[in-house]
Amino acid sequence: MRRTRADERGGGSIGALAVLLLLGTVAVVGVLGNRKHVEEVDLSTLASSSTHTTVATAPLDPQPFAGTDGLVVHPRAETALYSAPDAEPFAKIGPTQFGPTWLPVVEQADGWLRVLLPSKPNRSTGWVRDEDLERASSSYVIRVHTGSRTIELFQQGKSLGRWKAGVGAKKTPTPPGRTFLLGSIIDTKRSASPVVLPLGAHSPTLDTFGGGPGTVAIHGWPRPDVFGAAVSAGCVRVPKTALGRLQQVPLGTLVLIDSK
Amino acid sequence: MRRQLVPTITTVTAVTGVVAFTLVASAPVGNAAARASSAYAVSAEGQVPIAKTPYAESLDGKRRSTSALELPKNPLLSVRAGTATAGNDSAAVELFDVVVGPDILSQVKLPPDLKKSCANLPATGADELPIPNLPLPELGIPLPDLNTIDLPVKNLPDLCKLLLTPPSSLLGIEGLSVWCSGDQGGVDIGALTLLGQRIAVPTVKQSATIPAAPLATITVNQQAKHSDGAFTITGLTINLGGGAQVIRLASATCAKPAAKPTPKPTTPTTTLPVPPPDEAPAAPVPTPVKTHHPVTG
Repeated sequence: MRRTRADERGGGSIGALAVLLLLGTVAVVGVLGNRKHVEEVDLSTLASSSTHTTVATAPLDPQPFAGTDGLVVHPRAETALYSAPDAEPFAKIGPTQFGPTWLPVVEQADGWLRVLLPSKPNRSTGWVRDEDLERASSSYVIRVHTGSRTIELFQQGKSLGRWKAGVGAKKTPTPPGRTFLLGSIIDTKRSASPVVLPLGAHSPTLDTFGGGPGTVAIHGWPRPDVFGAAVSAGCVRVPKTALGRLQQVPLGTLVLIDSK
Repeated sequence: MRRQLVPTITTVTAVTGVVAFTLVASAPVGNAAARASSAYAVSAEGQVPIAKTPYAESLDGKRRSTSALELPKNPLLSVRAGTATAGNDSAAVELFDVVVGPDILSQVKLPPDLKKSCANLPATGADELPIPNLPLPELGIPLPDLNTIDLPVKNLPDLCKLLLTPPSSLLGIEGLSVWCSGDQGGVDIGALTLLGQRIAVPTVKQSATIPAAPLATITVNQQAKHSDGAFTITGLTINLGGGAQVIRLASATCAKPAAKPTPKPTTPTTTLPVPPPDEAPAAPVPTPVKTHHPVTG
């Protein structure tokens, strides 16, 4: 009888061990499965965020009119964009746009940075892992006020200038919110005002414009009558002196557009 | 009996623990909200009801965005463009060129006496002439019974100008932007006109009012915290006719986020110091690139 009981006890233990082993294996696979998922991202399957593309699933900018501490980052290689720290990747960002990609950092978490994106829709953001990123700091902020039709440039909080600017007309407004200097280009096809500073924003009412994706930009204008008027198709037209100063501002610098 | 229970209890405890661990470990990492975040550009209740248009809702925490270039046909309001976006514990609305009460005064026929007075305004001293107190006809949208003295004019020439060259709307809003993130949000309002006259928006702080009596009661930045932890912010609430018509413009609701698997992110503006120069060097002055890219002009 004693022997039999001993056998029964032994059988119970073996059963428990077997279940433990099985479930433990499942748990380990689960953990490793998740880790593998985060670590090994197949970038070829992800859509690229650029001024030409739309990434509808990008999370919203949580504070579209707030400032930042000026941190900007440059991805040295194609980098995955995540909807939240440790969440799923939804797109990727490349190292170049018009020139090198520089993106403003609007939020930070342990090992993660949230950046503004150049793709549609406006106010798109994405989280990037804090690896393979070149960090820099921009001490500048550009403010565009569509109500007073002015543009201001600040460095370390001090105003470097305030100029009248042409802003979007009623039907084609300049989109309010937080965006950034995406590039600095010389467009030889625009003979009258070739210097163009594309921003990370797009026209809210024009899907395409002149064959482009409706990218909003800061640029000059040959006639001064537009400065201080709501006349453009979304772009911010600025006087020559303002444009000269703005050309010195680093890429990735925050551009805050409001209705004031 | 006690000795037999030992392996059984061990087994149950182990199985429960490992099952729980397995479930936690195998669950997809994410922070989709239990209740959906949502947003809409326009809605109206009362004599002229308008459903929430456009309306966006994020059931899975992923960003959803929807736009409308026009509203269902109605006599009350029109918009140029509205975009509503909802994501995980965040939502936003952008609204451009809103018109409430289009052509509201164009149907008013001047009483003969007033018409005569307007046609014979004296060259000097007209500014001193009082406004005659005459009832206005029904204007086609819910408004209280109005007299000419209720209109935002100072004197007879102003009244004549208003009625002879009526403005295109009762209320015009150039742009309205609303956003929320978690339990915080904000409002940005463009130029606002009441019967063609620009009126100042004194503040966009919570529950501020814009003076427009007796034509309308306009409240800016109405906020509500719900019992389930969700947060709603509405850019403009326009009350016409003492509640007979309520229009809500740009409303965003942020659902309470589920517990996040990572530490709560910090916003650089509030908590992080400016990186020391040796850690983050000054960003370079850009070198212009010669290329062609059509921008919005």
